[in-house]
Amino acid sequence: MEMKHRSFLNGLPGVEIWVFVHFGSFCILPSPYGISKVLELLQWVADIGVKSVCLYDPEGVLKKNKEPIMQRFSSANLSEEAAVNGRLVTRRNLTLEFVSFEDGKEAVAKAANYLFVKHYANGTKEKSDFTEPQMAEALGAIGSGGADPDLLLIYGPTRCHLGFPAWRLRYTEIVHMGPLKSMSYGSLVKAIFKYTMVHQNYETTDALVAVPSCGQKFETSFHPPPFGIKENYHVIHLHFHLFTLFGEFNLMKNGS
Amino acid sequence: MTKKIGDQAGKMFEYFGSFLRKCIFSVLSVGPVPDHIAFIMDGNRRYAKKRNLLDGAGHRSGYLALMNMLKYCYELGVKYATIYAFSIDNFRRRPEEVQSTMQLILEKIEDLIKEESMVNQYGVRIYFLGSLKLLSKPVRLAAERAMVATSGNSKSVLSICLAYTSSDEILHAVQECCGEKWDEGSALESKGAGNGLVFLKGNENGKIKPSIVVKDLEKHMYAAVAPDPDIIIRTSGETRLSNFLLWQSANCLLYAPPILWPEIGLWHLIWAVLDFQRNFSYLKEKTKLS
Repeated sequence: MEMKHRSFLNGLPGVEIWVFVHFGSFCILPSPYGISKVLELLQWVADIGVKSVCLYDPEGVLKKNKEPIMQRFSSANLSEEAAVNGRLVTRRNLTLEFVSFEDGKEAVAKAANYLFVKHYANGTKEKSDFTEPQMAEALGAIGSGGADPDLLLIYGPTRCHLGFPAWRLRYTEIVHMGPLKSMSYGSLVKAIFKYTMVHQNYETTDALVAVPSCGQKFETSFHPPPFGIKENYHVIHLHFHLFTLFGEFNLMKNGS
Repeated sequence: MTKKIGDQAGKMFEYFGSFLRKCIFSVLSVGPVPDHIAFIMDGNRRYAKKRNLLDGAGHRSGYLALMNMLKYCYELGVKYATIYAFSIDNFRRRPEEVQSTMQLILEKIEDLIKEESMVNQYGVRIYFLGSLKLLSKPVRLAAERAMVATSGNSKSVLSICLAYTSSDEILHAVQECCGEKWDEGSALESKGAGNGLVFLKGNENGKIKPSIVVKDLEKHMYAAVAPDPDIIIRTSGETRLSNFLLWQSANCLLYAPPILWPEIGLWHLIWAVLDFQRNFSYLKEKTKLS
């Protein structure tokens, strides 16, 4: 998706910003500070331009209590005036995915059963080994498919992925963001920017994000980050899937 | 004469270093000590480039660093160590680089099973994890020899992931489970006690009772020879796991020091263990919940 905006950067009036953003997914693992923090984080993510979000909660609490999040992010797009005024359009209609621990190892066991039924049901044992595409297809068939994240942001006390589906974690950059209570827009933007500078060892051309060259500092206010100025900046291809993890989540403790 | 003095000085320095390590490890052992540490040895080529070394020299420096790290782990009381020696993805590198790496691996496997090596000194049993059929015959045979030669050791375990990826490991486990269930079903069918396990031909719906559970898969994982890792250390500051122990690392501390693998030292291990001790209660709680 292509968006063209006037620059909002101080001292750079009139520079056009070209941002191509893949409909990436952003995975969030909750911490014990309630859904309000999750909503705030999702809002920042939406402001950055991510289109779909994956929420990971090992205990499945968010999965069972997803209504407040769904309600908040199901409203229509902002008017065209917002785009003309030079701000990135804030998308509120995020595609949300809710993942829990049972979508990890249990899902692989179910996929194994699916493959067994599919390939052994005709009464003969097939000699060829299963392939990764077959496994991916099986996971999709049982409802635990999904894209591999490129970036996993962990909001919690420690850098640990807590059982995020192994099949989807193969080449994911895993970044520890600290506790959710200390989350900041600046650190979110910094993590994404740092990710864009990483050399990935596999080919993905689903998205193109123009990023500033070295030395550029992002603003830490709530203005959208300078994702891409056409002249004098590096343009790289990214498969822009973001996931964040929370260490733990307790809706009951925090009301919400 | 000068050489003798130099040798003696070197020995004294080594004894002093060993004594100092014992003191440090005694203090560390007051807290929980990880049972299993895994290493992704990233940065050998960059180290060689940084130091203007010849091709392959980075990997040789990396091997020395590995031997030191393993020695420190076993001295500390870490029973299991796993290293990511060669990924299936690495076969995509330039053929001459793959060949050179395989040659080094072959050479070092032979060194490991020598009588005077660290492996025998610390009673280490070696396992090679991965799709070994992808390796050349000399390397595969050397790996098998090493596993047989150290099968009598029982103090510690070293798992060397060779031609390994987690996705291949998971697929292998799924394949083995399906084969096992098929064999069980066929055996029951032949005895006339199908138990509802009917293999129908053509397009009819079978009455096959799929019964593969997580425990069955874990039994067939390559890494089933060791418990899940407590810490995974990846050097070079890279934050991804690159298809390493993804299944086993659910409640594992991920530590990514920003140094190249040949530069890793005792202090990085100490720091990782302190970080593990600091988060021990949290990780233990998460392990219980899962």
